[in-house]
Amino acid sequence: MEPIEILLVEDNPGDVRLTREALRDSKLHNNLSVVEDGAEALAFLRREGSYSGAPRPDIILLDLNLPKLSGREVLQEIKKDESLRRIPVVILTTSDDEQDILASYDLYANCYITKPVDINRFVTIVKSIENFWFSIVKLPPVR
Amino acid sequence: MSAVMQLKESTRLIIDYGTAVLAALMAVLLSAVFWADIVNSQYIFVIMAVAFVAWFGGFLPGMVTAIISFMLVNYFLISESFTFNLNPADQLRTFFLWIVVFIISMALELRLRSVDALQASRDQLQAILQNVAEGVTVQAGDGKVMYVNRAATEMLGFKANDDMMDMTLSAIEQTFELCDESGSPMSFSDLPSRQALRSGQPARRTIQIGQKSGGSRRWLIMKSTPITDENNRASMVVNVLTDITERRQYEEDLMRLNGQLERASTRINNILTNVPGIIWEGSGEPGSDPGQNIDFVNGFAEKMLGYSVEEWMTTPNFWQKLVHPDDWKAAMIRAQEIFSQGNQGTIQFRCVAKDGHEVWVESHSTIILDNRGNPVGVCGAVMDVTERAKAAQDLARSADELRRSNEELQQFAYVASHDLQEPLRMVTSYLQLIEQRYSEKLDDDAREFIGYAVDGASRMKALINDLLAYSRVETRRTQFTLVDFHVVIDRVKTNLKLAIEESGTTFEVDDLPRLMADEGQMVQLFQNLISNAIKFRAEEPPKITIKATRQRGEWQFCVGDNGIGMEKQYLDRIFIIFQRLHSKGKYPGTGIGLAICKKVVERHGGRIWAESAPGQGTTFNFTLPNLMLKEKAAGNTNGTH
Repeated sequence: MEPIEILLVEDNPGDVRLTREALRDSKLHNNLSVVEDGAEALAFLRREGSYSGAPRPDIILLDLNLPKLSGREVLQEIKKDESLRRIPVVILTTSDDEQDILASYDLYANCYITKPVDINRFVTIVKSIENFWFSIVKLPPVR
Repeated sequence: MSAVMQLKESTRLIIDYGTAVLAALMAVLLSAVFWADIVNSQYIFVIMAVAFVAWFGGFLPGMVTAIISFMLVNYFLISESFTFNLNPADQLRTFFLWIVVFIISMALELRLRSVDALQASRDQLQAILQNVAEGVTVQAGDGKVMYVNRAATEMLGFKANDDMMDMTLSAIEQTFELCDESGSPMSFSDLPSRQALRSGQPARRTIQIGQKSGGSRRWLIMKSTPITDENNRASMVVNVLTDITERRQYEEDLMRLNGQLERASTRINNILTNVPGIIWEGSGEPGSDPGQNIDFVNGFAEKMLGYSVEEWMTTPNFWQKLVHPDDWKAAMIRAQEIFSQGNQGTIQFRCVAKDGHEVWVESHSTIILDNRGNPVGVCGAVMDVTERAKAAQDLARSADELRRSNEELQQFAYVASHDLQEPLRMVTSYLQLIEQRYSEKLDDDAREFIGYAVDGASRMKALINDLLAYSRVETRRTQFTLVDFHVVIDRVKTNLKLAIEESGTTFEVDDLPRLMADEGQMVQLFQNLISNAIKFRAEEPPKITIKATRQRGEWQFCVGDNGIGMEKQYLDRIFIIFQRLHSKGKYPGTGIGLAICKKVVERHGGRIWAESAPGQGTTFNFTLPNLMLKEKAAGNTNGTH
């Protein structure tokens, strides 16, 4: 079975590590790619520059506060792009600001999650994401 | 008139000629009776009759008498009686007699004519004197009144001319009261008539005279001219009286008006000099080619803008010199608009004073119209509003700053929700990771330390969240809807389910209204109050009563508990942010909850206060304005669309 391709767009190495830790014990075989800003995220998705050999992710975990291009802008670009818009985008952010939540859904985010403080809850959430999107949800066929 | 005169004339003719005939008959009769005695003067009676008739009737009646008497005497009395024949001696005598009676009649005719003429001219003179506007009186040398004309009679307050005739000096003094020109009483001996009689020289004086018994008093100019006899003594005096009462009245009115005018003009001048604004008047159209010329400006103009009144009034198109070049065009467009509409208007612009400093002014102008309604000029007041303009600018600047600071606050709230929490999460998460991953390598102390660190971090998170909630009460957009407070309480109960169950809290909820409010904030408000009541409970399980009563224009809510209560002096402090009454160990919390409550209530236009005593529980009261009717209608309209 092919590993699940996950793209994490996150500029905080601490969060990257936590996500990695949470996914380490996963039942599903996964391959986590990490980019640190919005511009890189789009380059990765469009296989531009050094990302020419990048895999097409099965799911994108997108932070909102990012250097260069913000998470909102990245989301907008993804949902505008016909070849990318079917990839589920999970907004994973510290913000619980109402405006952020509304704006994300208005830009067709697939779901919005506020990162919890408690490590155990964080691990649970990451596992839930994996479980929900890859065991429960029927995703559109690729190509 | 002429008919009457003709009648008079014919009556006179009848009388004259009747008398002529009668006188002739009488003369003949007398001659007949005394014929023997008057041998040498047979015609004496005839001559007397002719003279008598001619005295009264003139030449022709005299001649008629003569003819009749001569004929009768000749026929009856002269020898050869009963014939008209005369002897030559008688013929000669008769001829002379005819000459005599002719001359007598002629002479008497002339006399009669001169008497008539004299009478006519006397009548004329009398009529003139009676009808002149001047009063005329004549007094004799002893002061007795000899003549009064109508005008004098009226001036002196009498009805008929005769009322004054023959008045003596003492009668005059008893009848009249006198004042001199200045209005003070005057002696009769100072009257010009007396002076003229005394000195024999003309005299004149202005007097006020009236009768003691009342009636009007008149102002008269009295001119007295004496008439002197051959010894140069005044035998009488002619007084001419000119009534100047009306003239005096006019003069007095004029003087009073002049006084009023002077006072008014002094007052206006005072006002104009002291009013703290420029008052001006100009002719011509503003902004037209020759421009407007200033016809008048008050003294304050120099104080306010430095240019002298002279400069204002002599510089053509002075406004252009005065108005700030940047404001000139706009001000002129507005001024022309006001001018062409011929009404009033206010313009704000800047002026440049003579020393160069800028003055904000407000110009109120009224257009002057000619009698056909065409605008011909402008008058107005120009006030210095620099301070007001500056205050308005300051206000606008503060509003700008406030808006900016509000935006910054929102920005801060966002940063807090995001960037402050991330490092906190790192601390907590990695401490927990250490605790889990290296559990067997840590001793109890290490685990305890980690526990404190995690607790601290989570308290900090709570603090940040509460601060965020506090700041969002104001920055949140207004979204009032019709809120059912039973629904609000139910939602709070759901949110606090665990705490309610654990503490065994019971509720007693009265009928609650439905009001226009921000529902989310109402939940926040009740949740904070209810969780407070649960948190600060006494030994027995909490019992919370919720009531609402209608007041004038608002609803008052009461949320009461049976908790530990508090000292009266703390009742105000509890609503201040970060104010806590208890240690964190005993009653955890951030000290923001009630501050949020206060802010929510105030944002809704209400008040909040608490009543409590230690051990007696606490009641929180707050009011919400009853916006229901108006806002509900608006809400319904929105709902149907």
